[in-house]
Amino acid sequence: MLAPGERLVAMLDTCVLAPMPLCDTLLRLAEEPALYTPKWSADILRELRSTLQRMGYTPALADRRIAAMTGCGPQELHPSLQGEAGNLS
Amino acid sequence: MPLTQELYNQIQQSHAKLVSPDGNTQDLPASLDDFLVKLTAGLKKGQSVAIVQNDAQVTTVEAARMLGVSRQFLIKLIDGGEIPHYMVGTHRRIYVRDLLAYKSKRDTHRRRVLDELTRAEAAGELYDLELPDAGTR
Repeated sequence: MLAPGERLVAMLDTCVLAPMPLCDTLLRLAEEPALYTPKWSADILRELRSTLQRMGYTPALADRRIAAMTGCGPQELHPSLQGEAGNLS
Repeated sequence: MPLTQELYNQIQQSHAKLVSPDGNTQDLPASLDDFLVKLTAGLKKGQSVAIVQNDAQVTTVEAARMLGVSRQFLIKLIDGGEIPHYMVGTHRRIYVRDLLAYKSKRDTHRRRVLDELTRAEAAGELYDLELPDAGTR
């Protein structure tokens, strides 16, 4: 675990966070012994909330999911990368 | 001397040995043997193991890197009383054992939250919902 500098960081965007099997797997890979450190931004969470609702989550269930994810995911939000993330699609 | 007493004495006097591939052996002190047994057990269970001096200290920059967070965020944790620190002049220092204690607490908490989420999503038939076809990146 303690290999500072060798730690990989990955930005997780809405497309991999919305489907729970992917989100679950990616967050578990970040548990110790961690393969990488996940990051996301406030913009990504905002987009996730609306995508979850288009998938069939009620607003309350989408909020529950996001609250749990922020409890077990990155402790701090990555500064918004909206510009760059928009170009990744 | 009764047989059991004799056996006991022999065990007391025997040493664990380190055998190298070339056949060389050396006695290991009991404390080191005990440590290696625990270390091996931990590694076999897939736990990550860090060997640090008990009183090793790190700067806020090093501590942030070890937790995978920014320095500003680490300082928030320190100021919020989540991680103990002490001052060397005007600089903050953190004992590695305090940092590891915090990290282990955080990791345990994360695992519990994720387990609960997974269960709740499965129970609510949300786990297998798929992305809408178009327009989502």
